Amino acid sequence: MVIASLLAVGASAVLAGAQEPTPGKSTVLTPTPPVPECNDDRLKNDSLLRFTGKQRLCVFYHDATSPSSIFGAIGATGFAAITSTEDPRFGTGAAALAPGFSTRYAQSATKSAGEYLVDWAVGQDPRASRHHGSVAHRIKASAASLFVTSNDSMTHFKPGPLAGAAAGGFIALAWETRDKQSVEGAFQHMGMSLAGSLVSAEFHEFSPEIMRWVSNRFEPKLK
Amino acid sequence: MTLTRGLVVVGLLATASGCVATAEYHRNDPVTRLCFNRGDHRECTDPPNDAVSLAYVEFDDNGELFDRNELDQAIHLVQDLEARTPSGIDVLVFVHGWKNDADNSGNVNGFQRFLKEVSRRRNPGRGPLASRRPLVGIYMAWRGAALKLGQDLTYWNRSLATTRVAGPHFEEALSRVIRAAKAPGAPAANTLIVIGHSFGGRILEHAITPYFETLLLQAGGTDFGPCVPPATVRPGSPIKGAWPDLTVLLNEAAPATDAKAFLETLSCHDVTYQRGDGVNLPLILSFTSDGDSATGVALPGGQWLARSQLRLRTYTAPDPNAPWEGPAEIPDQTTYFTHSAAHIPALHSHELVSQSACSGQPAACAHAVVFDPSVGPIIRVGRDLNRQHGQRTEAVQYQYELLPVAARHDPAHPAPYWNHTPYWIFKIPIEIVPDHSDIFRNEVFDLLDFFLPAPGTAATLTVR
Repeated sequence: MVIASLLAVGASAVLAGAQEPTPGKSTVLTPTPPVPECNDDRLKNDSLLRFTGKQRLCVFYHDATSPSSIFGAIGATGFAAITSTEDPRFGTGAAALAPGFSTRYAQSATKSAGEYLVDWAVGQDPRASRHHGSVAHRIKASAASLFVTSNDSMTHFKPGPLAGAAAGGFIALAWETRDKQSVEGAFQHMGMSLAGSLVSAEFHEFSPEIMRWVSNRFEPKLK
Repeated sequence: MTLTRGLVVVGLLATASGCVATAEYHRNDPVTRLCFNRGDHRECTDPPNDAVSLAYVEFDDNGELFDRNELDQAIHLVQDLEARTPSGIDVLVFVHGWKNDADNSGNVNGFQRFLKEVSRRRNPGRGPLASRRPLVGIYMAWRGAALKLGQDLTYWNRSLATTRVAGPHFEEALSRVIRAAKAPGAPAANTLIVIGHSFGGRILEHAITPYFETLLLQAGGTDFGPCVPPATVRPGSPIKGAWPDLTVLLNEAAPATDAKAFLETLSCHDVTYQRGDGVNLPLILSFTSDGDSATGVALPGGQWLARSQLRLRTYTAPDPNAPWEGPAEIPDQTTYFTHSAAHIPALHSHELVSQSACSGQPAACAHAVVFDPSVGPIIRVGRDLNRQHGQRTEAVQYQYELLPVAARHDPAHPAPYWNHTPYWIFKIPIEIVPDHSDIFRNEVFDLLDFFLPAPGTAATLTVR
C-alpha cells in the first residue's frame, strides 16, 4: 500500500514536470545567478574598481599556466639542448630537460608572482590593454605600460613589472654557480627579464596585426 | 626510461582528470531575469521589469536536448512577453563555440554583457528598466569544451560533435524560436537575431540552411527546378514564412564546403532579399576578423590533416552559362575544405573599407545608406563617442563603408565577383574584432544594428 502510494505520488510528480507551460500565464523569473568571479570573460572585462583579490589570484594562475608560459620554458630548454648551451650541472641529453624546464618555469612563475603581489599591494591593474593611435604611439605606449599607468587625470609610476623582474632576477641566482651569485648577476637577469616583458608587451599590442599577416599567408589568392 | 614512463603516467592522469563532464547546467534555472548591476537583485525585482531575460537551451554530445522543459520555458517566455508587449520585443539567440559551454565559460558572461549593451543601445533614452523594450537572450549550449587542459587538442573531436549537435533537436529548437518570434500572429515589430560563433557558427549554418531551403522550395511550387540562366527574365516569387531578421556567422569555424552548396542554390535561383527602398540585405551575414588566427591558421591546418578522411574532387572547367557553379578561381574542393568561407576572397560579396575619421561630427559618423550613382547603395557604419578603456576615457571614432566587391574595382579590369547572393561574406578589420574570441564588443553590435529592420518594416525575400 505504501509502495503503491509512493509510486502514485512519483508518477504525478513526473507528469507535472512534463506538463507544457500554459501560454498566457506570466512567468515569474528569478534573477540570473552571478557568474563566478574567475570566469574568463570577467577576468578580462570587469572594472578595476570591482576587481577582487580572488580575481587577481586567478589572473596570476591563468598567466602562470598559460600555454605561452609553459611552452616558453619548453622552447628555451629545447633551444639550450640543441645549441649545447645548457648548464652542465643539469646533466646531458634527455636527463637535462626536466631540471632545465623546471628552473626556467620557476623563474618565470616567480617573476609573475612578484608582479602580481606588488600590483595587488598598490591597487593597480594586472591586465594588459591595447592602445589606439599611430604605430609609433602604440610602440611607445605599450613599452611605457611596463613603468607607468595612467587614468584621465594623471600618470602614476607602476612598480609591479619592475618588482617582478627583480624577483625573477634574484631567484635565478639560486641555480647559478657560486662565482656568479652576485648582485650584479641579479641585475643582469633582471634586465633580461625586463627585456622579455618588453617583447611580450609589444607582441600583445600588435598580435592582431601579426595574426592578420599570418592568416593572409594561408588564404587562397585570387588569380 | 623512468622519465618517459613518468611523463606518460602524468599525461594520462592529467587527461583523465581534465575531462569536462556531459552535464546539464541549468535544469533548475532555465529562464532568469538579468540584473544590470551584478549582485544587486533589487533592480530586477523592485519594480519587476522585462528589460533583459535570459534562457538556456542545452544539448548533449549527441545533439539531444537534455531537457525539453528548457526549450518549452524559453518559448513560453517569448510568447508571454509578446502577449504583454504589443509594440514588440527583441530576441537574440547565441550558439557558442569551441572551448565553451553553459557552465562557467567565458561566453556565458560575455553573452550577458552583450545583452545588457544591446538593451542600452535599443533604448537610447535609458529610462527606467520597466519602460524598456523587452529583450530575450537565448543561449544555445552544447559540449564545446571537452577537456579542461589541452583544449587545443580537441579540434577534430569537437568539429565532429558540431555535426551531431546540428541534428533534429537543434533544428526543432531553432524552428520553434523562429516561429515564436516571427510567425504570423507574433507582433510585427519583433526582431530576431541569431548568432553562431566559431564552431557554433557551423552548428547554426548546418541547422538553418535546410530551414531556408525548405522555404525557398515551397515558394517555387512544382515549377521550382532548373536554375535561372544569365539574362533570363523570369518573374520572382515572393516568399511567405518566418525567418530571422538577421542570421550571423561570426568568425565561423567551418570548412567552406558547408557554405558552398547553399551559395550555389541561392545563386542558381537568383534569390534576393531587399528592403522596401531597394537596398539589398543579407539573409545570412558571415564575417570573420582579419586577426582571427583560429580560423585563418589553425583551421586550414586541422582541415588539411583531416583531408585524408574523404575524397575531394577537381571541378570541371567553368561553364559561362552556369555561373552559379562556383567562382572560376577555385578549381577544386580541397580549397573549400581547407578554408572557412570568409578566408576565401573569391567568395566575398562585400568589403568593409575604412573611411577617414568623421572627427567632431557625430552625425557624420552615424549609420547611413548613401547612394553612389556608379555603385548603388553603400552602407556606412560608424560611431563617434567617448568610451571608458580601463581607467582612461578614449575618444572612439570610426567609419566604414560596406561596399559590394564589384564596386571596389576598375570596370576596365573587372575583379572576380561571384557572390551576388544574399549570403554575404566579408572580412572585418581588427579594430572591430581583434581576434577569434573577443566578440562581445560594442563595435559588433554597431555593425549588426544597421541590418535590423525599423519597427513595422519588413524586407522581401524573392526567388526565381
